Amino acid sequence: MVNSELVKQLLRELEAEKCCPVQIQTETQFGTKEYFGSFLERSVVVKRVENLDEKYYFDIDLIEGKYSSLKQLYTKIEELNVLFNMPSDNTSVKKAHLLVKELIEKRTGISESLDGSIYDTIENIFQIDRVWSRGHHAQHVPISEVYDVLNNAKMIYLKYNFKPRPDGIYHEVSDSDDFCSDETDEIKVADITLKLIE
Amino acid sequence: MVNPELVKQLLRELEREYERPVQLKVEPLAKKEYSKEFKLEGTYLGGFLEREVNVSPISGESKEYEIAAKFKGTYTLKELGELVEKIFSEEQSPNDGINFDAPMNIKGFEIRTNAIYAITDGTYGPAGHLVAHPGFEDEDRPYRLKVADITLKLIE
Repeated sequence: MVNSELVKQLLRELEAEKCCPVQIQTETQFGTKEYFGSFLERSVVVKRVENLDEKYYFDIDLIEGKYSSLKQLYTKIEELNVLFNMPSDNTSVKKAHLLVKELIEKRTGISESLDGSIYDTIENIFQIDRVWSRGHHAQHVPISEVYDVLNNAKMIYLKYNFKPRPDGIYHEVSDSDDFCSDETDEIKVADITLKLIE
Repeated sequence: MVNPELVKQLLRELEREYERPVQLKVEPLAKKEYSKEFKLEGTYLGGFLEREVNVSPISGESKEYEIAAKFKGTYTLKELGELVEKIFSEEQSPNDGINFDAPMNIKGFEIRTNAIYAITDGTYGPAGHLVAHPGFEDEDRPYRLKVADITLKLIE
């Protein structure tokens, strides 16, 4: 076990030199062994960016604040991101998928389980409906109805697809007008400040 | 500039603990506002590329081993890379217009931090020593043949 004071001292010197948080990976010829001063373990403060678009206020209010670690923030966003996450063992995602499955069945008669995220499924139904009905029918499920269902179940969730990274939180925007496009863009919605080594 | 003695002391402790060479990758969280291509840039302390290495060629009958015997010595990894490239290029160039000894099945040499491999097309070479290279498609028929061991110098 290496001397932790030695590690801290080196991290402090590096952070003073670089004027930002620094983590160190130890590498041997066979790969990474461990991290020192890992960003994931640092306590963080999340603060909305200046001139944030008002449409993000609801979501940002849910995540702005202090966290004991970056990992804790990642977990929180993962749990809140029920509309955009794939079906998983995550309790809130699973619950949301079941609720939306019922809604889709009621509105469209489609009773298959959701393979993708809720948002993608709703988007796909809308696109298919638009192509087949040429806009004359409204069999698709409006996202506002999805919100209603989740709100009635007293679920707390993000309306936008937020992706956290050590340098900030971003809204990942896909090009919904192009059905086949995987192109995404992103908008920074919050700054993350990591605590420096003391 | 960080205290180099501090870095050495930490590297010595880590190398003792892991019982092998260790390099430290320093990853500063440089802010790149609104940059989609966010990634942590790293620099190295005690980087393997700057270390001296000892190259011990493996004995063998084929052309791959014959060339690798010329890599024997002590260098930095950077210097070794230049030397390997130079020797391989000389071996490929016919000095009399027609080079009957040219190792046509050798595609190059791959230097790793623990060994040097000859990359061959697998058409011939010592059976049992050929390792399929994971980075290529099957139809390319490339193989790796270990031709030398590399020992990295530990921090003193």
